[in-house]
Amino acid sequence: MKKEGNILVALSSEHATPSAVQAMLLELDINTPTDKGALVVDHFNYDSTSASEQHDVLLLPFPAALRPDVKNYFAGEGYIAVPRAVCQTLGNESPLLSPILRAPSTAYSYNPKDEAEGVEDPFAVGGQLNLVSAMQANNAARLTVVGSAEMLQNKWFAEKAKLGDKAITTANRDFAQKLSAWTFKETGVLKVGKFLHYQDEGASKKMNTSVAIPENNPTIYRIKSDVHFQVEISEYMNDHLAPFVPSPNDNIQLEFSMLSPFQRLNLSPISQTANATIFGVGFKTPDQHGIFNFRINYRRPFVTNIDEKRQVTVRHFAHDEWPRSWQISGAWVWIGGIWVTILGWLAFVALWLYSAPSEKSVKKTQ
Amino acid sequence: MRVLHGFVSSLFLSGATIVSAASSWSFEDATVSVSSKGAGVGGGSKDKLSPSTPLQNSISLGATDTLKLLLTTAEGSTAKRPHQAFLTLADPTTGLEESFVLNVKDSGKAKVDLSHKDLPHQFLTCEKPIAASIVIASFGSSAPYKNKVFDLAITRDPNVPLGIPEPPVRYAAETEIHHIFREDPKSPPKLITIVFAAAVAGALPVLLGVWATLGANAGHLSKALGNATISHGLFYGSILAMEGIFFLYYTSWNLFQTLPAAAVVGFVAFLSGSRALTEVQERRLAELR
Amino acid sequence: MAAAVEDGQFLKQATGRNTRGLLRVIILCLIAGAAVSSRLFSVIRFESIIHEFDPWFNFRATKYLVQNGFYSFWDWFDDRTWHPLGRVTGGTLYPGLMVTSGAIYHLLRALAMPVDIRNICVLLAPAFSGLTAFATYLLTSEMVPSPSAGLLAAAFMGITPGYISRSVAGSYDNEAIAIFLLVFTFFLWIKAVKNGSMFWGALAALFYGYMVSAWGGYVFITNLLPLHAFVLICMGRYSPRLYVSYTSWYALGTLASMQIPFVGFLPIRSSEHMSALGVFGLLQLVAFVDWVRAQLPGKQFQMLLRALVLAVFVIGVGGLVLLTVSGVIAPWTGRFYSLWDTGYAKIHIPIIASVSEHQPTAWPAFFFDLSMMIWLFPAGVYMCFRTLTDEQVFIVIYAVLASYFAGVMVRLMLTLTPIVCVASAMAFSQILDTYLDAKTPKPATENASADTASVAAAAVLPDGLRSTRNPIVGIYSYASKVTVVGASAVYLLLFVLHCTWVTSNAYSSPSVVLASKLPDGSQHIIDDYREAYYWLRQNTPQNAKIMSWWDYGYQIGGMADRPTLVDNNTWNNTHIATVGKAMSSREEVSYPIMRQHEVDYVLVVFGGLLGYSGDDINKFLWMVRIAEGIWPDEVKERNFFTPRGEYRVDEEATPTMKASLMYKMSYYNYNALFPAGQAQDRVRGARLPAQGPELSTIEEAFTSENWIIRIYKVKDLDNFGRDHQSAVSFDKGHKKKRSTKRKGPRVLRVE
Repeated sequence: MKKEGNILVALSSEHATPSAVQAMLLELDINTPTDKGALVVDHFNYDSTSASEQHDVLLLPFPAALRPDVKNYFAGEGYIAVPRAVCQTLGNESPLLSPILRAPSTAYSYNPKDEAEGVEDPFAVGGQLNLVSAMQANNAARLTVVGSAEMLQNKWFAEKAKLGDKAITTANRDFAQKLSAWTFKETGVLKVGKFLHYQDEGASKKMNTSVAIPENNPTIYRIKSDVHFQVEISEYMNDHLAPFVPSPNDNIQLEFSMLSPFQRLNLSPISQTANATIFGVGFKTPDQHGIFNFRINYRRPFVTNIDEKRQVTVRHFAHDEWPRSWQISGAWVWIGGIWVTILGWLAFVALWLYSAPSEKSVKKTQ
Repeated sequence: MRVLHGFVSSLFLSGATIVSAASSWSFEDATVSVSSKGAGVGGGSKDKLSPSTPLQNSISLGATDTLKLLLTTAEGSTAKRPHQAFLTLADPTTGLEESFVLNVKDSGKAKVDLSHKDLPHQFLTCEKPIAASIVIASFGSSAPYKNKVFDLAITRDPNVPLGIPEPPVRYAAETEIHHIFREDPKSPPKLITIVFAAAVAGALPVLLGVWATLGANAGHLSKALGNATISHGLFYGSILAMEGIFFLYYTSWNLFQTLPAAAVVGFVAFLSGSRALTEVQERRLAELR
Repeated sequence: MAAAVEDGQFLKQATGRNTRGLLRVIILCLIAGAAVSSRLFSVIRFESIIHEFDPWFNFRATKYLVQNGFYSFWDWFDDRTWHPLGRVTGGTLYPGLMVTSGAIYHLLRALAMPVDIRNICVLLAPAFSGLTAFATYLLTSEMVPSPSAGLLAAAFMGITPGYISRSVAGSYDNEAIAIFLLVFTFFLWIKAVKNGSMFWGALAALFYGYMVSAWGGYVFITNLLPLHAFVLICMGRYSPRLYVSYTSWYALGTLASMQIPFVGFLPIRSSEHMSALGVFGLLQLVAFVDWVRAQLPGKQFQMLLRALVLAVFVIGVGGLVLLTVSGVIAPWTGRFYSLWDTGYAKIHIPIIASVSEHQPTAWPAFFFDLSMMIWLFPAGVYMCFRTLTDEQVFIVIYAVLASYFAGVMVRLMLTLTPIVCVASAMAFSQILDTYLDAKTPKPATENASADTASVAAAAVLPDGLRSTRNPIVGIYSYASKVTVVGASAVYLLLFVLHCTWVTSNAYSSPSVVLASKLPDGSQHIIDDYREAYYWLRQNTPQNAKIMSWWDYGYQIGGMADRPTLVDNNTWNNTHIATVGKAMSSREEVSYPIMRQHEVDYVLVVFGGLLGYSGDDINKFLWMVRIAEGIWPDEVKERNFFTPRGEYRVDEEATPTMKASLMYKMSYYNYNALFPAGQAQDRVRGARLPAQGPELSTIEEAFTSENWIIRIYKVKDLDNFGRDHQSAVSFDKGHKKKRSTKRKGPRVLRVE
């Protein structure tokens, strides 16, 4: 259905949503009301110029960040007018979905035909009701559902409106521009540059190992060796690559994993180049040999996924990499025993060969 | 999503500007009662609600309890049915909201029943009391009403497990994991090691001493060398060399350096040894040993 | 060849000593030649290819050794098996075989004869079988004075199917060199015991060390030599010769065996090796007592000493038990237990029981592998009882132990074969020596020439049992001579015929390539394995992880050169059980397991189309059992049997069976080959359900010509975060049902 393609779906309460589109959205766990004409009203935040009676043109500020650790790509000044919107609700299970613009807590969706008198069973109410929602698939293809096609029309780009008794100008142009920029991958696109890991020779001085190790990105490490890891990440901003700065409460994490992560470490920015931030961390390989992955799995709402893996082998100590026996104090007894045996043997051979018989000679049975 | 709360208060002022907005929505005769199953008619609590000030105490709702809210909606002072009459619960910590629709008659009489099975599971596990507010609004210009009326404390039986689904996956940073390394093997205290090593090393002089008391000597050295100089020299030399090779293998050599050297030395030891040992045997046969 | 031996017999009587020696050398060379050439059937019938399973690993390891040198082989960490655990291969294998062929490879290169390492590996086993024949000759010659017995034994050893089964060209396994080492070590040991020589003892230790480096079966030597020594002591045959040979063998041999990383400290830490240590201690004690007794001749002292020996022995055994219980000494391993109790493995360690080599031997196998020697063998052993010198005691012990082990485990037939050859050659040569004597025995010449003949005749004639009378016996009639010799010759010819037939028909199949006969009698080669492995090799990324049952791990590693999850080195039972669980569970359960292990492809062997019975559905119960051993709650063997206790794959198969990944993978799309409702499994003779299984988390990638190998690709996560079942059903046009009625509270989305 989608090979990295991006889709912007605009719904309108004036036309019934085609059932194919509905089914498609449902498959993605985005629910839309089935009845034709269902729309969102809010008796608290409506435009009293154009919808003083119907209350179906909502005036909303720009959305805040979804969570404190998520970057906000839709921030702006002013109010967005959302006329006659079809709402969507998102299933709770999928992490791929995220709301962009949510209705205020007093909003609800109703069907003007059936529920003219009073709302009895609203499709959704309050913050659960999304006016604009987004889905980013695992391959980073993006789908944006806009509840109100009208809000993208020229008519509403900078229209005079009144919220209560406050006269304002809608900022739909700004929002629409941000929305389309995000949907068509002009913002929130991350790019991984150089992926680098290398052994830190300084801390664990290698002994005479028989395996030659290349300088950068070796395919094999030894257990308990110090490893440094670096990655360049840049973010595409409309027309250029810029250094990526994650949200202040967020961290890019490196996992060093075999079946399950043995190390999961926050990467800290080391330096910046013209269009990338270099993140890095140093750690010690675990004391378990096996086939590990350096993995950066950075998935956050609104930014494209980074899932980079580099497979490396972590081998055991080679036979000549253990501490030598004289470095182990517990072995001195045995080393002493060996020397005593050697010297005793040499002395014995000498005696056997050269000893003259005394009055009662040492008789060895052979 | 909760940024909009601030607007609510300002909205009360908005009514004045609109011509027909002489009135605003509100409610009257509101009572909230909690009755538990099996507790009888008089059981449970009953409180009167006022539109302007919330209840001081929070209302607690047990697992088998049913909360019943009765009120009359009014536009201005006349009882009337609004388009929107909600009881909105908001979790103060997560900000999660859910509204329950009041069943309103044309006369403005409204009621809603609430029990545990109506609540989303997120509310059931809520620690703090949930803020419950009433929203009454409709089309037209009448000022809508929204105010917090009471706090709802959810109590539940800790013994009854809740069928809470797994928290869904959300993409966010996870907790760090640091590998815990196994401890390195430890050597015993050095003092003990040294004592034992000394004891082992001390065995050599003892051995030599015992041999000496038994009459060991090197008296035949000259005789042996005289009889077979080269083979004796080579034999003892090759034994020494073999130990040297072992030592080199221990310290620096690898197997492929060791094996040829050991082979050469072993060969020399074999050749010279048979000569040297023959000489020793001759001495023995000559009753010199 | 038997004819050649008989020639030797004839000529021996007439010619001089040097000629006889030369003849013996020539005969031995001929025997070696026959031994080698009869093992080349597999190369002629098929091609120069590595056989079976384990040899593929040995071959791969050898290539690694040759390419990377000895030390990196020693420290080899193999990241292409047991993904993602890896295997410390250098420390967990017996390197003797690889080092041997590596040394041969470099030697031949040094001699300016560059030979492909594969050909060395293929031909190593036949080459060593020639050496085995020679070693058998030496061993037998130590037992009886008659050299004809040695030559016969060598000939037997050269062509007996029991040994050929593990040493045809291409069967590049540890046993290929280990049997030679086994026999040769025994020869050196006998030599050492006879001579009381430190030199032979040291040589025995050296070859014992080599043996340890080559095969896990070295434990047989480790226990047999002490047992021999122990029996000799118990028979009151202690002598300084025994002391010297045993102590020099034990001290040096133990040191040598500890040099192998895989063995390490086992010789002093595990129960299997304790008998050798115990006998070593006992010998010291006996030697000490012997010395003391020589100093103090007194009856009460001897009583005291005997009590002392007994007390020390009891204390020693008690200490051993105590140490085993406390865990200092590793208890017996499971493989060892299964030697004493054949049912043990099936209950406790299914992974061992699942190997066909570890099954108890069927009786016909003895006749199949040993032919006429099976009835000559007891005669030979009986003859040993009659004289019962130190070395013949050894034969008796060896015969008893090896017979028992061969009965318990099929593959230990291999250890029985040498002693059977030796013993039956002794018996046979007695007959021949007696009856081929052209001279009519005369009392005067008896001592000079017919010494052996009299002994042999005594074996044949009941009168001879009373050897104290020392009667003049012999064969006087030419008729009886001709009859017996003729019958023997016929037997020998039959033996040769049998061996050749068995070798060419039963033991020469590489099992990588299957052969079948077409109706017109011509041979048809079924090459599905290689077809599939080369498909993997050429169509998958270098690091694509392949999941299959462990039987095929070595072959995938060797032929397809792809990382595998489990292989024939079954060191990690849990990991194998994980694969077993993935195979025997529902797709929804298997998929996370496969994702976690980064599996890219799954390979199954399916014989239903061709009637190839060694397929995965027939092995499936072992997978279930092994998985059940680790996850008894999630995998249950009972659920794979119908209520009537049948294991079925047809319409009446249990739901668990039908839902299991293995079943689905085996029969996926199999219906399409047949008219509707006619799908037939030719191995199990079952008609399959009309509706074939459906797969959602994996997709078919490759199926070989005869459907023996089927390869499936594991799908990536669904792009839209759905589970695969719903994704597949959506793609088929089923829309997700909207739940019209809302029950209970709303589900709120939290961020």
